[in-house]
Amino acid sequence: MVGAMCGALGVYIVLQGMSYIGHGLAHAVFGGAVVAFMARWNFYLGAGIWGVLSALWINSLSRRPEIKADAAIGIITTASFALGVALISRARSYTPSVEAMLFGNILGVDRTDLLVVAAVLVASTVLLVVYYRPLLFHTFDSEVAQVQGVPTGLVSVVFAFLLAAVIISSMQVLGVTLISAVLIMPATIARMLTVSFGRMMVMSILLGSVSAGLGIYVSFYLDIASGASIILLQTAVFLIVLAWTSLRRKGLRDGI
Amino acid sequence: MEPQVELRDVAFRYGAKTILEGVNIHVHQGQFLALLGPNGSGKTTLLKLLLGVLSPSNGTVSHNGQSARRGSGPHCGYVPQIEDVDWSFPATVRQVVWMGLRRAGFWPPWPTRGDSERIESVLERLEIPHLVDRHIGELSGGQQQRVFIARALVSDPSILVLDEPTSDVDVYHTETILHLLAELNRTGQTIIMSTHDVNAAATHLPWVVCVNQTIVAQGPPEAILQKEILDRTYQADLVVLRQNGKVFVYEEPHSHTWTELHPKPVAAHAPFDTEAGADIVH
Repeated sequence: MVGAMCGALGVYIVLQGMSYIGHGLAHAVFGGAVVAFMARWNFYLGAGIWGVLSALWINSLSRRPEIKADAAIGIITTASFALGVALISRARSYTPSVEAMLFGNILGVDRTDLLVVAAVLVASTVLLVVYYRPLLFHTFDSEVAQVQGVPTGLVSVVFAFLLAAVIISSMQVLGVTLISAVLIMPATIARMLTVSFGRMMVMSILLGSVSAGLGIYVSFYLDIASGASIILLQTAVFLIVLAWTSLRRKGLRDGI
Repeated sequence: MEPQVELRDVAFRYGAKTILEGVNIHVHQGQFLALLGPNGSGKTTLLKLLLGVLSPSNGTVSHNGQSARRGSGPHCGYVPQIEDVDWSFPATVRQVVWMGLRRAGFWPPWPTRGDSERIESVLERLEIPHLVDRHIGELSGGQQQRVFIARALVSDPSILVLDEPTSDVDVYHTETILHLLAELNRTGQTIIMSTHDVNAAATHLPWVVCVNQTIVAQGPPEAILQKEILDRTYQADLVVLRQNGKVFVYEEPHSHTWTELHPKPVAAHAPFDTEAGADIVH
């Protein structure tokens, strides 16, 4: 479920050239998660509110002409992450649940986590289907989309909510430090294999979900962190596809 | 008849920098006009004010006689500069044109039979139906420009707005695009375009607006394209020639021509066919 969600959203992130957003937002959410952990609030409540506010703030800051999107992401997310680190060091308690947040731990996933992931999967599927055309137009050419009647402000906000929800729900499995790779790797591999948006979306979802399933299986048998094993598998696929597409290009150039 | 779009005493500032000021312009149904001016003269900003994407710092913008509110602009089809587009984006011509359709609801998230008919009809009109399933990155500059015009036209806009449609295409495609726009205008389509190509505007457009931070002059090309007006617009020393009712403009070299600098060409520049003075393949 996590692999499929990340695979689908990753297509838009990669095509918008905003690969850093997943990395940044995951770090921002960590700040909220630590606050929730210290205050003994519900994890999803603390991280959720924090993540959505961070995504909206990044969205609004990056609209200012003097602040580019990468700078907005860098400022807000590192500040938020730093707050989380400061709170942990103040409390001097580096507990297993904080470690799970950072690096992911499939064994720490309980029934509530599974229900949250399933709910976010259903919500993201519905929203990606409903907003398919406006989101496609906004991703391809936001300014023209706005002129031609696409509510680009609303589309950006919906996407920011969705991204925050996917990152928060995936944190237990993948960990803050590894989520961004699972968001961008399947989409990047799919982009290398096709020039069709529809096929890219399908391939990215398949790659995301299959590699997540296999990765968890491997992590269980090799006793390594689930997030790390998923990403190592995806990296292996990326390297194979990179080698294959490079050879194919060379073959075409040499007329073989 | 109320103009479709009217700007009255409009100014636009970006921080402390004034991009446009004292702009008065009105566009009526069926007009075909070019905003003419050098790079950085404020043409694109003026287009965005007309489109309703930007709000003026001063002055008023009205649409069909009503004061414009945010998001209440006329139904426009917009063709951006093609060099601003990511041509590696994974999309076919069909998908790009489909993006431009205005539909009441979000469902279904794929082209319906009605959508496909409209897409094919607009591609027929632009004489590129054979490109429908091609990836946009495989097309020539002229074809890419036609695809974007198709995307702008597919929802039957009241105004077609093009930003430098001839800036990145060769002479032949410049001619065919301007001819195509003239044909569209003949069917009643209002068209506003920006260009820095004086000769293309002089030859193909019935109305020209010279822009350089303000409206320098506006009117039919034969009245507007005069040395004094063009020198003020382009801040350059231009030569205006008139022949057989046509206007040709070129820039007086700043200080020298090539032959003045090199009265005796080096061997590499000497023509092979000395009798003809050029190396021409017949």
